Amino acid sequence: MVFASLTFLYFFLPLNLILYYSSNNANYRNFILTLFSFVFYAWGEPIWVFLLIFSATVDYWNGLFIEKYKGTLWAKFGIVSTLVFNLGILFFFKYSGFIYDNVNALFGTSFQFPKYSLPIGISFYTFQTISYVIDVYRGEVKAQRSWLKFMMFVSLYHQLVAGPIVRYSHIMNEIDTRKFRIRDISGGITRFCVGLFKKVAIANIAAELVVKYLENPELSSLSTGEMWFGVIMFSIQIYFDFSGYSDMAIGLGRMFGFHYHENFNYPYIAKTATDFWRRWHISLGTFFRDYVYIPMGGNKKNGYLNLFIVWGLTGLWHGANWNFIFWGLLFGILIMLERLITFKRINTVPGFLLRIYLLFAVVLGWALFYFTDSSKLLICFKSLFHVANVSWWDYSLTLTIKENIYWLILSVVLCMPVYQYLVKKYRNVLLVKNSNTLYWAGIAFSIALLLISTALMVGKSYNPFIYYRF
Amino acid sequence: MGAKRFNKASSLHLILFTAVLVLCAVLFFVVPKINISKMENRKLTPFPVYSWQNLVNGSYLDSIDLYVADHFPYRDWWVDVVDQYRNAGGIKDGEIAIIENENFSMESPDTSKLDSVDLNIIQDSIKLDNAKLGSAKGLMIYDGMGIQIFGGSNKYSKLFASVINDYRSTFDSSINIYYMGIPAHGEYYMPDDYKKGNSESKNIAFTASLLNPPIKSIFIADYIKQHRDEYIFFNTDHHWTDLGSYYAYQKFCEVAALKATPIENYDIEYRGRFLGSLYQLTRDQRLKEKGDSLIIHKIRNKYAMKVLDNPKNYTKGSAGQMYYKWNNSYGCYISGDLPFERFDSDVKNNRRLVVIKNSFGNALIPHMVQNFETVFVVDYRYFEGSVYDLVMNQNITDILFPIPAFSSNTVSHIQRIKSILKINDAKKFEQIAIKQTPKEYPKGTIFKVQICSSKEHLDTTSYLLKDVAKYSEYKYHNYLIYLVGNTASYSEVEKLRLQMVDAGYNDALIRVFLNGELIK
Repeated sequence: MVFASLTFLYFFLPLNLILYYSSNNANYRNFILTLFSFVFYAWGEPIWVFLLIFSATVDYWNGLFIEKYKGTLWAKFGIVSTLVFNLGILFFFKYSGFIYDNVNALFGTSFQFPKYSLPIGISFYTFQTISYVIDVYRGEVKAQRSWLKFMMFVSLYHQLVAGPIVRYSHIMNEIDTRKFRIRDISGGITRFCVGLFKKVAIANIAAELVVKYLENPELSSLSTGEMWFGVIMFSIQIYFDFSGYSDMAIGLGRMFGFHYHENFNYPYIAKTATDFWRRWHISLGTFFRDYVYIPMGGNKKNGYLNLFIVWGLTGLWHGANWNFIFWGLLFGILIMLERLITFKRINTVPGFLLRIYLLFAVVLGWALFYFTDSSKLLICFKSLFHVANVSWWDYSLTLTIKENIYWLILSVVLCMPVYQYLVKKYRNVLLVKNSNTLYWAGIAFSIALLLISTALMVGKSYNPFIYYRF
Repeated sequence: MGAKRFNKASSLHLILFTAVLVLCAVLFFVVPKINISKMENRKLTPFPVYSWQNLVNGSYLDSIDLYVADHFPYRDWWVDVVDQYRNAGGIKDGEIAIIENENFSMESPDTSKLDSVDLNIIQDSIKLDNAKLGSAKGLMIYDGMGIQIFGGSNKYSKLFASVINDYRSTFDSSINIYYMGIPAHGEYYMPDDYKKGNSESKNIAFTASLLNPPIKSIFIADYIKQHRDEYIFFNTDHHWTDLGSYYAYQKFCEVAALKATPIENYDIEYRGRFLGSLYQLTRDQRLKEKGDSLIIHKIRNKYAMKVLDNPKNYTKGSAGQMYYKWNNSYGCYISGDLPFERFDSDVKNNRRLVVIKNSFGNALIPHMVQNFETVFVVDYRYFEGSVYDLVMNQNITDILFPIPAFSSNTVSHIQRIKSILKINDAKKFEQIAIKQTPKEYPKGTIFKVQICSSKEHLDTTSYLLKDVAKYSEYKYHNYLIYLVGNTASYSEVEKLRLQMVDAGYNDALIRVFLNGELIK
């Protein structure tokens, strides 16, 4: 199931809320949440839900095992077996096709790999359980004794399929005891509605424009302007899609008493690549920092080699294809250059120039990210830099921009922390004057977002037929 | 704000939010469901049928999502809200817009694959529905009129022409066959400054050049262009008006040696305003403002119209309306897109016409009824019978293909037109007849099974013949036909034919030889 669907919003969610809050019993609530999470997952993956349960159960036992044999060789064995098991699953489903293809291309062989569909969210939940077991091994958290609670942690539908990657340590207290706070629920609702709006009213519309340009069957005939527009639309789509999803996850979490960490912090206002990755998909960046980069020696030992390994892996995590690896390495190179130049010197450059540099690099990065087909990628880059025999601009692009101009402005503005800025500036004025009105406006605002998003989801099914036939 | 007030407001927030969710969910079950959306002209997704397989492959639950979206309470209202959101998203140019979305580019314009298209693979009619506007590349809105951008190419023309040529070679040359390629709005109204897409009239001319000479082509573009200032095309609908089709009819009469009824001899009925298909597809404000009027030119002849419900029965059917009362849009002509209809008029000239058409033909039919004793109307998209049978059994003298360039450049449409000729069905009946009356054939008659034919020589390396151990080649007119079997017994050859059909030669048919010459 996905959040941005009418089935989820109007049937699954209210039923879940009502059943969840219909009893005070903690076990009952955990059970309801776990059950709904299984249904949520099974809705899209009726088979792989069993893989999820199996994999989580193995990690549950591993956690207990490692804790029991703490400090002995057995614990080491436990941690190795966890890594082999989880990464093995991830490799089998996500990367084996890629490895076969490369082996075949390299040696001219033709091994056939049985094609499985990729279980949704596998990259997220395997990372979550890996971090849990490592934390248990390091003694940073206590192993969870209740299978149900552990299952709930892994399968929580808020973040199961698209993150953020929730660390066990962040929510372990809330797994055991959650407090009911009405303002949490209210805040969660607003956050959820904002996320839904970002996904449905911005990302989905940007996606249509991406398809129009980047999926154009005559890609090579696109003008330079259209190609830039398409790639920029993809930058908007991916940010609003992903951060909207994280907003919804955080909002849902609050509705049920969980507090997940933030996953995005206005990445497009970053000034350096280093800064960008502190603001983009934060839970992934910190995962690689804490479980790969620092254990390898961080910047103390083989710093640059570690950097490239981490960024190559970060790229690979996003998908089993070379373009993702190159995309990751692009950031590795930029971060390395930034370190070589040193931030002291970078900070002498005016902020707007840095932002232009970063946006340019990020948007080009998204082009690299988007095209898994290298021949299309080449067409795209040729057109972006106008080295192909294409025109600069097409009048239909002027029309497209004009027809979406307010929406475009809204999208760009929402990439910046306008809300925070306004609150900071007018907080005192508003609080003193019209505190009631402000609060009501907030409520009305979230309901309005919900209704617009609903309309857009219903409208998606609008699919007229030309033939006069019943 | 005090903590207490804060909590109160938060509670209200929760109540409001849950209320919206629960209210919609309850309404979903309470509000009566409709099965057909008038707004969209389509059947709404039904509740899926449960099966273990559907559940496991995920399609069951996916369909539930579609079902919920299609039957969401007050769906039309929500769709209007979307329009407003989308309209508010930017500035609409009063003059021009270009819309390229999936509705306008269903078939890939990738023509490189066309060389290997197998016309014998027939997609079912549901697929055809999805082909929508055929080979359109997008839609331009210019001055309040929707203009489809043509994406056809000469490669499609070749496929299409081969099918019409098949019809020609099937029927006796005494039967006239006409091809009327119809260009749509773009031909007449596409502004020169914004020219997009290929030329429909050039594509039609090229198609006509590939047709075997006894096929008469009717070129209407230049003539209609002279009338471009009249109301010949709707603004918001992808069809022509019946006035537009009238000029095509005049051109047809010229070629078919008939006398066209002067336009003054029609009765005019005004049916008021409507918004057509292109508006429904785009819900564009400019189209809505311009709108369309339905002005019907009614013929004065006496006629009887029958909607035939059995494709094999050419007389039995229910009465239909030439200008359907309950539809005030293009859908009124001949009661919309029905698979098979028959018109008998008061004309006595021994000419009987079959029109093989899609919706563009609808407005043309009334005109035709004025010049033929009988007109059979076959909508190739839905007709399940055999045109071969129809023509042979009903003493047809003329066959007309009024086909928009958009359709003749769409593979699924071409396949469909080919499939309804159904010469095999006809031959099968013939063969059964042979079985019963073998006396027809003199002693020494040999039966063989034709498995395929080709213009060029084939050998065992060809995929068509690679599975056949022993075959013979025979030259028949311009074709080489490939045969298997050699027997004097009809029942044996029929058995062999069925074997070949099973082996994948769907077109396998029995050939009759006498003294080494093919006689049937």
